[in-house]
Amino acid sequence: MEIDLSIEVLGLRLIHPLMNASGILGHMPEHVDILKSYGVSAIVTKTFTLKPREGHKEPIIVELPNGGILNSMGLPNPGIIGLERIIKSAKSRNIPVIVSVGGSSIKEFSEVAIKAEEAGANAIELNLSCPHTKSYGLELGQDPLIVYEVVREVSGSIKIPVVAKLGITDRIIEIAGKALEAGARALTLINTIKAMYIDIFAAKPFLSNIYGGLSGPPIHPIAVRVVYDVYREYEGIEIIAAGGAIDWHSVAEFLLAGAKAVQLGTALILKREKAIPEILKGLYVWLSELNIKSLKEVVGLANRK
Amino acid sequence: MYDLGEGFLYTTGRVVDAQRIGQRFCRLKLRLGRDLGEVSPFQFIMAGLPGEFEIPLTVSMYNREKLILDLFFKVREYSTEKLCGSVKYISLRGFYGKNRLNLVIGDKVLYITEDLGFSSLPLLISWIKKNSKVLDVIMVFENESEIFEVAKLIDMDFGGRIVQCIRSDLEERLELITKSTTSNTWKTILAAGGRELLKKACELAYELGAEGVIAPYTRIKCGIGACGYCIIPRTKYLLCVDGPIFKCSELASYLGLEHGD
Repeated sequence: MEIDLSIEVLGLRLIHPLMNASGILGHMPEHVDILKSYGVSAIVTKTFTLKPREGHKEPIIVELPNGGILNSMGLPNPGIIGLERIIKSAKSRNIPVIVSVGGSSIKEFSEVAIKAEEAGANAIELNLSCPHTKSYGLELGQDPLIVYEVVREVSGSIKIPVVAKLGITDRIIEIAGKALEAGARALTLINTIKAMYIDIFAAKPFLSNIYGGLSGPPIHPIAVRVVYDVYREYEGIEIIAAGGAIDWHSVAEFLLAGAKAVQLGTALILKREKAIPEILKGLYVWLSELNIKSLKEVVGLANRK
Repeated sequence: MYDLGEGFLYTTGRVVDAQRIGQRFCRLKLRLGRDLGEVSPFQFIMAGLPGEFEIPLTVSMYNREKLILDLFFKVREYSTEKLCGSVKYISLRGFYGKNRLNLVIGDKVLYITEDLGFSSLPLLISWIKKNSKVLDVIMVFENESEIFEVAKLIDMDFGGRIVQCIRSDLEERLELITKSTTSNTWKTILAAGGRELLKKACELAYELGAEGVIAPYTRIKCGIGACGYCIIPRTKYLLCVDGPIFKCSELASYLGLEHGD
């Protein structure tokens, strides 16, 4: 039986639903070749801000005993000056590119998004949920009105699709609704979750920033729950899931919960070139077992009433 | 302690001895809280003080049975000063990088190194002895006092030839050593250092018909292939997960080599 693993999201026809999560490489042209070798169907860049950012000083990452990774990069990026090179590099290799955009003000979000569109981006993902950078991300994204304002302003300034990347908050359903109402074509759910790790011999937080974003398998059940709830509330919307998808099984859960595409972070760090082929093979066998011909048929299936 | 998966380890090292050698060098001996696995020459560890700093350091020696880790490094800024100071515990992540030596090193090796490359020498010597290979070494220093200090740090009695020189004499020494009768028997020219030295080593390897193997220096932030800061320019290689050593042919575009092998 022929099985179709392609999907359509953000107006793009992708050969399969797997892309990298923002923050996994994605700010230098050389990264495009690496991500291509991993087999992503689209590249999501590191979050770009208007001006270059150095990010936090090391230690910025730690591998945790529970299988998670805690990072506090601090949104390092070359600023909009670096956008053109990476987009050009992706385009020359025929890989769609979604530019992650950050900002500490509505104006900054908008200016970066405009530059990204001019440089040839296929879509914009607004980082409204980074949990570890002051004045950016979640500090803005936990307020439904700010989310509404940012998405509306950016959507009104560019023609390419806008995705709102939202993090875990108590008001996620309301915030998702505001983002959609303001013109978001899709939602990326979820970002890393604010967390910390203490070195017990030094008796100090390990990361220089104290707090970081937890990713990897420990957050996967939380991300599945959020995708499920948001899809149930706003049926038919486009969701790109992110959060601890490490194998085909965890990707399948996301699809059944309502995601059209899935972003990988920890899986690409751990398995690199092996991650995506393994997941695609697993999805293929799973769909064959269920006698389902297209991946599109399983999207949101767990939500059926 | 714990293990996220292949090569992803975290532990705390208790400082057994921190010895300052002269003005610029440090020998740090740590007892680890857990075994960090096999390590091969040039692999590195992220060492630091929680909440303060973290830096990559090349592993100089590791005794798996006794869990003793030796780190030799240059003292030149706050972090290395602090590591060689009075701290009791050091956070460690690693070992990072691949063990590729078996794949790329021939029977007789010339190792050319500058700056931080001396750190890998004890482990390299031990590996060379274990694998019945022969090693000659050229070490390049900034000045003569560094030569004196490193001699106190590393046991140079390993049977091979060793040439120590200051940077301005490198060309002359290279010419001398490569014109010697042994030069055409080197199967591998191994080098650790900056771009110029690596390029020179690769050209020498090409000239002598040897395999060129290099360990470049680059900035490392995460160590696990996530942040992408250690990309070797104009290549698709991340030093932390694809390196730390490469064949010259793999980095030809970075070095600007005319020949790819």
